[in-house]
Amino acid sequence: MDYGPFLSSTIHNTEDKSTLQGKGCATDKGVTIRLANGATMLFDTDLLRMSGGWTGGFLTLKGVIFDGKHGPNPTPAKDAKIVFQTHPTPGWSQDGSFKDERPLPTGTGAATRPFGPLPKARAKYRGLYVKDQSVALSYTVGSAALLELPDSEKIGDDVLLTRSFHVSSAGSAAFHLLAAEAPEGAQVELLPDNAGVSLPADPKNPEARLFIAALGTPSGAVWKNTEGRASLQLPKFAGSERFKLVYWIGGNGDANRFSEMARKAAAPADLSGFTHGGGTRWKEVVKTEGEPGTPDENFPYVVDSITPPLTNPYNAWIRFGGFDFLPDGRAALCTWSGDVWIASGLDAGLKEITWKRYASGLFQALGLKVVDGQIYVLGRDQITRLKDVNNDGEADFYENFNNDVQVTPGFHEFALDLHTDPQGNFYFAKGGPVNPGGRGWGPLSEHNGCVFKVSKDGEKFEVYATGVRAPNGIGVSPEGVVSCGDNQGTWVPACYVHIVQPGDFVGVTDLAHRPEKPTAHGTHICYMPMDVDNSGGAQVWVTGNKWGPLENRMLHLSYGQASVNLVLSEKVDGKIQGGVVRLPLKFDTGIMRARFNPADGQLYVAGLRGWQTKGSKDAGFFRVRYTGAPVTVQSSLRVTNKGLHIGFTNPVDPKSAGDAENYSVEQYNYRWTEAYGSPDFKPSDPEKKGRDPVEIKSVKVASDNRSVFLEIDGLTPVDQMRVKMNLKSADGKDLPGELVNTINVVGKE
Amino acid sequence: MRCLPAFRLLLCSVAFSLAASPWLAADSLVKTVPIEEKQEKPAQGLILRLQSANSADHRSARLVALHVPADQPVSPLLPAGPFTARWEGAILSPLRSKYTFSAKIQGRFKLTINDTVVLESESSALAESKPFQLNKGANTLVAEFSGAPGKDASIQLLWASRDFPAEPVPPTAFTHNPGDAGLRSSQRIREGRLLFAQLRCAACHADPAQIPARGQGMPELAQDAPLFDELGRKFNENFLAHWIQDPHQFRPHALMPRVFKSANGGVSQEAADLAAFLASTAPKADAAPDAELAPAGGALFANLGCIACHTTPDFNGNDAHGRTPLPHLKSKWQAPALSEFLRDPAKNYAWTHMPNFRLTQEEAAQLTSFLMSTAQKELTAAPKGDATRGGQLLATSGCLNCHAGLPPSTQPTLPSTLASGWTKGCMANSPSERGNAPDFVLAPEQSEALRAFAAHGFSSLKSDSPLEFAERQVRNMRCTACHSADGKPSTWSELEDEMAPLQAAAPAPEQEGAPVASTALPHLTWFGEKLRPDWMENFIAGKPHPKPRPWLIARMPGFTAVSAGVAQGLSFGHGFPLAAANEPEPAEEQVKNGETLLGENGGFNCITCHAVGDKAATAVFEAPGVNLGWASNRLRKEYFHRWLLHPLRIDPETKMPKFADEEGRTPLTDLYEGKASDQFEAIWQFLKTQAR
Repeated sequence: MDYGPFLSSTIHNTEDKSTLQGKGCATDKGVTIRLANGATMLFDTDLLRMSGGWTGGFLTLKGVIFDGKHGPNPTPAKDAKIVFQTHPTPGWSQDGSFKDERPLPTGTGAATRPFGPLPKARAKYRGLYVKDQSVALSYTVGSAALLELPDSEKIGDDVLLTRSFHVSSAGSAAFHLLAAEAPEGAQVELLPDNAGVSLPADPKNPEARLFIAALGTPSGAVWKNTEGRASLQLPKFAGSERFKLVYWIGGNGDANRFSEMARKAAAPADLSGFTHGGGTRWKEVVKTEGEPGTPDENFPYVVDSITPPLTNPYNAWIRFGGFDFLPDGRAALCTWSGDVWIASGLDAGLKEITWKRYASGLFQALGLKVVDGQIYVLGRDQITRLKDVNNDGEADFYENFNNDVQVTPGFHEFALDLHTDPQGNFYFAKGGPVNPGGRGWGPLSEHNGCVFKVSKDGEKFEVYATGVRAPNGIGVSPEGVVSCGDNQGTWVPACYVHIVQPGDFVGVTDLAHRPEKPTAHGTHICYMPMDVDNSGGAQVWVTGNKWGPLENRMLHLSYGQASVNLVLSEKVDGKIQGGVVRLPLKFDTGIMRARFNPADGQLYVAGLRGWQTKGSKDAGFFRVRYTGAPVTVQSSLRVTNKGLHIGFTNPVDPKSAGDAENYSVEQYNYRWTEAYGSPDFKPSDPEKKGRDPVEIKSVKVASDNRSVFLEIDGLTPVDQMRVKMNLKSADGKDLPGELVNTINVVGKE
Repeated sequence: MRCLPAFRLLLCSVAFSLAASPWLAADSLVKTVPIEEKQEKPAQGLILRLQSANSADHRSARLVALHVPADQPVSPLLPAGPFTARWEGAILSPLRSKYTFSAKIQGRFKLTINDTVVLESESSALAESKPFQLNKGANTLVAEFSGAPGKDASIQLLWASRDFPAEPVPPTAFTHNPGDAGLRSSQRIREGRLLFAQLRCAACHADPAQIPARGQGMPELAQDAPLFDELGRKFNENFLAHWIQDPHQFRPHALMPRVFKSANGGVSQEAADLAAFLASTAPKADAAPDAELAPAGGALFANLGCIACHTTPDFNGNDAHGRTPLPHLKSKWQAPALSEFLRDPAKNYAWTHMPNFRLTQEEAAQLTSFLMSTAQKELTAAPKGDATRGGQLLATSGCLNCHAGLPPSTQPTLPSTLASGWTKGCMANSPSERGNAPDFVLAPEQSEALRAFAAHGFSSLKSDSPLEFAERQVRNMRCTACHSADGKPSTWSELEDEMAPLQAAAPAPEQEGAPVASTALPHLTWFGEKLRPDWMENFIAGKPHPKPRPWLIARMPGFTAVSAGVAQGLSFGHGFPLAAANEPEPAEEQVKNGETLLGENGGFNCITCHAVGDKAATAVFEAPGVNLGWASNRLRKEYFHRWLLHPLRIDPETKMPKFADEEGRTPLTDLYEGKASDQFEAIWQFLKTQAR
């Protein structure tokens, strides 16, 4: 796949070790940038450090999004010749010190090194500009703002790596810029006359030496050597300085040769042009024809497939991780491999859908939200606001809207789904770093297993709730109610749907981030058996009245079962509870994101095949279109001490609905433990595995035929109830055959 | 046919008067207490009424399924030849719902539910009913089958609904009245027959006319007893004395009788003498086990499933699971010999219940250390024995009839024991009537069962039904201690609280890819349908092979003596012959498509979780799958299809995704227009090319 000019990901060092070992170019939030002459540089957006530069290729791409492998992360290309590296440490000093003052994560299982960005006052990553094939990094250090352009130049046959800096606003403090670090135990040699530094380049080759020089530095800039660290002490920036570091590897006696080459290198460039955008990278669009679905006589909703650009000139691997609609009705979709594509032509016939690649290189983009016409993409590293500066249909500025979220090297801590509330606050979730084999966790950060809230302006980041495992999708209602699901696993006995309260502990004690280990999980709306949902997706609220009689209802997607479920809920004594009914709709990929399109009021869903799912296509984008015919489905559930009240959207056939023989109810409990999922246990004999049948004493159909009452004695709270029913609507259609629910509180009749 | 209970009773008694006719011992002197019809709480499964020639037989049946080769009887209690089978009981539906019934038949079949004929067919093809509505709860079921003379007879009854594709109707969907007089009468005969074989009555009481030669007829007749091999270096003399005196105090289900009377309830002089002799056959070779190994041994005891058949040695009470107690272990064994025994339990006793776990020396040492250090029960000192006297007793007390397989010597012949109506000697109810005969500690119903068997006649010992052999040995070898079956959890899976402290004392290293302790083993319910008999036989025998589930610490131990019979019988019990039907060579394209469908690009990506031969799975997450390189060696094609169509229906806890929808379509429409059965067939054909 052509990942474009850069690729964001976690990177392991040349020894294939992560930042947890704290050495070399390993980077938690890396932007790996392709340079001319086959060279590459890797930037750390947490630490504002250039983690390394090399020639001889880009990356060896390995890990879950590249080859499906659990655990690995990309490393510098196999044949890379490392020119320079820095250890995971701040890229700019503060008060002359490179000390990493970020706090360590706390609690059981916490990692022993810090994660997340440097304090904003010290340095802040603002984003990156793409111009043609070049990438300029934008960040602040103290109060100064800079652009930095990683590049390479060829002088004769020699390739120099260069870092050009352009100060765009004045700064108040003096800084040291970290240039490179010597191999363990080696020292940096200062070249005479402040001409630069030289240091051993390769512990295995004593002949090889890295030379670094600075061009065009402001007066007062001085090269420093502190404990094997080569840095350039810089004076206070006046506001428009341009300077450049030049890196080259030669032999022990090559200092003069290097100075000669450095003199020949181009002068530090004016980088301000980067903020104006550049040439179009992805001129070719892809056209596909959609596949309108065929109506089903029992269920008046049709699944239209909006055929994705699976084959495209960029060989981009299309697996949709999120989407939203632009004000003009086009859709923006992000992919797990880091792209954003814009789909237009979403009309009734879907005859010609045009797909335009809009952005690339994002870090496992699994959430996307459009606000005021601007696209916000959730990567694992940050929320990126994409700006098309020159209006050529491609993003030029990948702005860091908020990157406060912490990233560890754990492969499974996906950042999932992006929504906003009516006040404009953003929400997303982040999983725990499940070990490659599926059980237990890798070293934890403060953010593993949390739902986050980010203020409308991106300035404030807060943990909204803790204790989720890997909720592949959340939801935020038009009123601002936040919800999530989760995946069966450690401390998640079965998939559930949950309304997330601020400060909530949802369910995974290891990820509770509380001083005391919680002794009870949060109150879920309901659990779902494996065959209903074995891997949850997002929730979405039906907005508008164009989607049948289900306005304001919550839908829950099952990624694993590739299905849409209608959520029925009630509140008893302040506690929520309910169940789901699976709608008879079929999808050929693991659907996990959903939105209602303001343009047509219909449900759109998208997803991928990446984790286990019954869906077998890499990507899918669907419209679930209401045909307008009456629909009769279960639409409410009320649990009382006398039995179950089940309501319907339309009248049911009283004959089938009134016959107790057409129903069966069984129930069982789960065990909330650190085991992976839970067997079923009999409520009547809690130590015994199995399920209990529940006797229905009688059935009464309401006079309007819109609800039934199943009389059941002795209902008590239970994790899982399954109500099977063979009912017909008043107009003779089959109803969904099962309602699965949880009883948290038994209401009074 | 639906009849009133009274009428049914009449029919049954008619059947029984038939049963006492030509093929059977009409002139038996042994009388038995008649069994009356009772209406009892419904039990799982159906009543199967069999008739061959003029004889009738009844047994409970898990399934409506049978395979009977032309030269074999459908039941050991019936002669070989044409037979009719009639399953009676109820079929359950959780709610009023429509089902389609189908049958794979070699013979003639008729299915009647709620007095309506649902399916009637005579063919060897698949017959299918129209959708038929079952009421919620129990629906009366009668399934009638007869084989064609001179041909193998087969029947499998399947059902399908809108919730699941066609599957054999599971045992949990059937109920019957366990109080049925015919059923209970036949059950009693069967129990007596098994007791007769297992207690080795014929080892002492000869009757060459009625008892088949060793190795013929009912397999359990060949069941051996432990050989006396260097007992002195294995067991402690004091234990031997106690054991000889009263085996049942150590093992409630011991087959060995009490041979010597005890005046005071303690160990008799004879038992002590015999123990002295046995102990003198080899020098003691005791050595204390390494105590540090005990925690690891305890973890093995839990994680290998020893705990499913044995209570821990420190337990000394009544066990709800009927496990064999071990508190006396330290009094019994010399440690090195226990280690050796654990590694090869069948060395001196082929039919031992104790299977071979293929323990490494280290594992055996760990287990020995655990067992010896936790078994605290001390035995009182037996009288001092005289080895010389003991040697004489060995020859005169009949021990060698069983333990060395010598021909019967001093005991009365079988016909003469029966002459009294089989109420004297071993069969006496009281010590005074028993005289010097051994005491098998028979429960009254066991004595009654033996008499019922004798009354029925001994000719059934000359033949057997593999299907019934499998059922007997599944019970005898306690397969369900480790495997859940027919909707019932395994014993092992209910012992997690007992296991936890043992596991905690020696936690397994948390290492990626290291096997995990789990009691979630494959369900026994479908083994007969699922596994190829040849593969199953080797697997049950514990022959070395790569583990199908290397991620489990649990391992299938070997039950060598019964492996072939159980494999064959389970297969027959599910209506399958031993050999799979010959298939034509697959087309190259089909194989190629199968490979595509298995893979990531254009396929179901099965290879994420399943290795295929030497190719490792690409990204296993929590739920590794069995190596598919073995699929066609292990599995029956029928099961493979059924599993792929609806995995959760077979195993509600499986992580295997269900790719096919209710209409049998998958999302992969590029091949075979998304038709699941064709796609799965292509995968199967590809997997056959990968067979190992």
